[in-house]
Amino acid sequence: MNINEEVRGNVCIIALNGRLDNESTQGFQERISSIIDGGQTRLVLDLGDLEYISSVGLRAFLLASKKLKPLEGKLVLARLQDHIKEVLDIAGFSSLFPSYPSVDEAVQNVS
Amino acid sequence: MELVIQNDLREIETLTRFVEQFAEQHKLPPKLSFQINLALEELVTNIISYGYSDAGPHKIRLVLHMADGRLTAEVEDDGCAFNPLEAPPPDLDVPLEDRPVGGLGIHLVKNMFDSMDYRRENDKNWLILTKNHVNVGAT
Repeated sequence: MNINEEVRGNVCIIALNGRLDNESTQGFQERISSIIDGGQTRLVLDLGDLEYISSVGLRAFLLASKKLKPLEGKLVLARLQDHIKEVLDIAGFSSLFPSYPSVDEAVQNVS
Repeated sequence: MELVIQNDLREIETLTRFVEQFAEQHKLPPKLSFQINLALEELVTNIISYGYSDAGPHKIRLVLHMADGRLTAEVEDDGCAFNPLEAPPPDLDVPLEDRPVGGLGIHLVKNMFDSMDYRRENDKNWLILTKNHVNVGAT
């Protein structure tokens, strides 16, 4: 999986490309942790090119969110594809993480 | 189509290719292929991570079958008895900070398929997932 970071003002956009599965989730978790440790607390996850997510990937979202909570940070999602949205809905994550059709809208709402 | 894998998490990649091949052969829509892949990954990960009381090698058998618009996925393992149908559902209404980080996988599997049957036979777990009215050949 490829992870790209872009900082826009006080917001960090993290674009995921590929599969967030058993194999790749640990790397993603370490990356997002180091982004938060580096002082970024307003995060947008761009999931437009995410092909696959399993429960380990969802747990990584949850852990990131828990880490942001005491920092009064925020994590939102952008560009959810149908099949990814369905997994988030079933997992009950849709009410936890606001999502937006575009990265721009996500950035506006998180900054 | 049948696949036998070892109880090693690196085998998940083999599983992914197996599902891709099956989906291609039956011209399944990408969303369905994703759902099968997700369900099998969750089940196999659970078996490999928690299913055995020893550290030795074990085999897990997976069968995918498609006939008359009905898709079945079968998982057979010789691990400890575990009936996913009896696993308690996660509480999705608790606040974010109180959510346990586990327990989601089985919940996802249950919701991706129409039915799920379990039996314990000859010291093996047999799980059969079924999806009805599969639209074959859709893109």
